[in-house]
Parts: sequence; C-alpha cells; structure tokens
Amino acid sequence: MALESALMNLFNVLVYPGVVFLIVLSLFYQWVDRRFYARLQNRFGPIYTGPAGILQPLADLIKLLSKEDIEPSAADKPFFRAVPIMIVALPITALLVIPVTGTYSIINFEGDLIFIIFIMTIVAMLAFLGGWASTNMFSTLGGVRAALQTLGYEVPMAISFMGPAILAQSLSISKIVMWQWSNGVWTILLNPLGFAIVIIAFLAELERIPFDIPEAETEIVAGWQTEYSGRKLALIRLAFDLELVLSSGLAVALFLGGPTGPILPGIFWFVVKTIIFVLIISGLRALFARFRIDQMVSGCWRYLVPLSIIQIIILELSLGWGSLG
Amino acid sequence: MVDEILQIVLLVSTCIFAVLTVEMRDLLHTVISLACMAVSLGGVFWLLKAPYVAVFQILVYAGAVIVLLIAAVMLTRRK
Repeated sequence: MALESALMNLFNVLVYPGVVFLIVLSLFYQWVDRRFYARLQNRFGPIYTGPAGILQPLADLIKLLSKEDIEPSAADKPFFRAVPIMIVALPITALLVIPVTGTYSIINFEGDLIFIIFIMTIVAMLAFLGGWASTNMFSTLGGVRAALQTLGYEVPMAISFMGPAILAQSLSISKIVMWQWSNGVWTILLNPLGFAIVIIAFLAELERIPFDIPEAETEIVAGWQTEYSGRKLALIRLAFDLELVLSSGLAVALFLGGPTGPILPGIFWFVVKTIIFVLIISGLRALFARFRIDQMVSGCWRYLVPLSIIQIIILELSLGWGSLG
Repeated sequence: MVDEILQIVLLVSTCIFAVLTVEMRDLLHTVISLACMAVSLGGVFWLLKAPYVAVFQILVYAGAVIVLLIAAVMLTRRK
C-alpha cells in the first residue's frame, strides 16, 4: 500500500499532471501563440509539421537540441552552463504548486503564493546572470535591461496578487481556488484592476512585446541570449514556454476560478481558461510596439504601483462596507 | 531521521555559503553565495516547522535584497 501510494506520487510529479504533461502543454501553447499571432499579422504560421503544424514547436526543440553548442572563451563557464538548467527547473518547480486538475495542487502549503513570487524573481535574475556570464556587450546590455525591468514590474505584480489573497484570507493558491469554488464567484469581479495589472506584469515577465526590451532584436541582436546556442538555447526556449504556462496558470488560479467549472473535469476548464489567457497575451503582443526601458520602469512606478494600491484600498473598503451592511 | 540529516546538510551548506560570501573575489559571485545562504537558511526554518518565516526569509533575503544588490553590482565598473 505504501509502495503503491509512493508510485502514485511519483507518477503525479513526473508524468500527469507533472513534468511531462506540463512540457507537452507548454509546446502546445507555443503553437497556439504562434498561430494566433501569425493570423493577426495575415500570415499562416507553422502549418507543415503534423496536423496544422502542431508538432512544429517539438521539431524546433529537437533541431536545437541536436545543433552544435558553442561557448565563448571569455565566458564565466559555471554560471554560463548553470543558467539554462536553472531556468527550466525553476518554472517546473513552481508549476507543481499551481492547481491543474482540481482545486488542490500536487504540493500545497500555507504561503506558496509568496514562494511563486520568489521563483519569478529568480527566473528574471537568471536572465541577468546569463547575460553577465556571457561577457558579450549585447548580452550584458540585455541582462542589465532584464534586471532593471524586474525592478519595475515586480512590485505592482506582488501587490496585485494580494487582492485574491485578502479575499480568501489565505496565502495558499489552492485555498484561493477553493474559496472561489465554494463561494461560486471569481475574484476578478472584485479585482478587475488587479487582473489588468497582472496581465501587464506578465507581459514584462515573459519578455513579450511591448516589454521585450531585454531581447530587443532591432537594437541588441538577441539580448541576453545572444551567446547561447545548441542545447542551451533549446532549454532557454523551453523555459519561456513553461513560463507561459506558469503565468497563465497562476492568473487563472488567482483570478478566474482555477481549474473548476460545471460538469466537465477540472483539466478541461484549466486548458480552456489558460488558452483564453494566452490569446489575450498574443493579442496584446500583436497590438503594441516596444517601449523604451526608461519609459517602462518609470511608467510602472508612476502608474501601476499607485493603481495596484488603489485596487487594494477599494477591495478593503468594499469588504468593510459589506460587513457593516 | 531524514529530517535530521537534511537539517545537518542545510546547516553545513549555510555555513559554507556564508564563508564563500566573505571570501569570493568577484562581486557577483559574492551576491550569489549570499542568495544560496539565504535559501539554505529558509530550508532550515521550513524543517523547523515555521513555513511563514521560511517563505518570507527566501522572498525578502534571497529575492528582494539580492535584486537590489545585483542592481548595485551592475552599476559598478567591471574589471
């Protein structure tokens, strides 16, 4: 019996809804994102590999994995090698905390919301480390921009996460999902401003247009990834897809009720809601042009931070009003 | 038993990273060692059944403080 439950846990962590499932899902979301973005630009996007091009992300990954891996001789070797591994491992670790199939995730403890904020900071810092360790001027510039961007978007994002946490009176993501499920409301109804701020912050976290400043290809080649090639670049690309799953899963769990819904199983609602979130992000990506780094950071501190604090104040006032009335 | 072994490993790694923080020559390596030390210390708090302390330890010391230190390092001149 003990062996059986241990095997079941291992299966949950490694296959479903753990590592293998999440990687497949991330490649699928990359395909959704690329197809939608291409259609908005009057292109077709990937269409040849597999039905409707659905295997193209996997083909890209395998191609990159088999290519030659070149390291600059001046690079800081240990950090240069550690960054691609860490940047894949950390989002997978964080995804184990997010509820995917039901109201409870594989790992849940009081305070895992804070843990996720920490992991997102570290992932952004890894971009800086990778750029700094490659000792290329373009990479260093991209890495410095990534670190500076983190200083801008992180504070409003963390404050906006606190809205659902205040409503559910818990810092655990599973309990926030549980609260929404048992009360039958989504926290986005009371936190519309917080949700908008989280979308903007995630655009910056994912280094998407209009916040693709760290890898602005018209200015600094590929930003902090310039010196990466072969296997390491494949891991970094995979990490971006995993981050897309992580951020959409987190937004869905915190604001859109998580993987819960009528009749159908949780996993169906999870995929539907996260695809809607991915489409929002792709649409915004097609709509805007890139900001300058100073515009981005000052805009975050001038508008997003006050707005997120106003959101919390409104929430507290409405809660107090509700308890009075 | 497993908890005790883990705790000893974490305590030893905390000490090693603390020494490395002082001894490393490169500023960035110093900052990374400090972050590793804070994470190990968070692990110790976690094993001592203080999850909130552990979580805030890694958020504030391994997250926010390290971001600020890295921002300071990146503004200094590189040798």
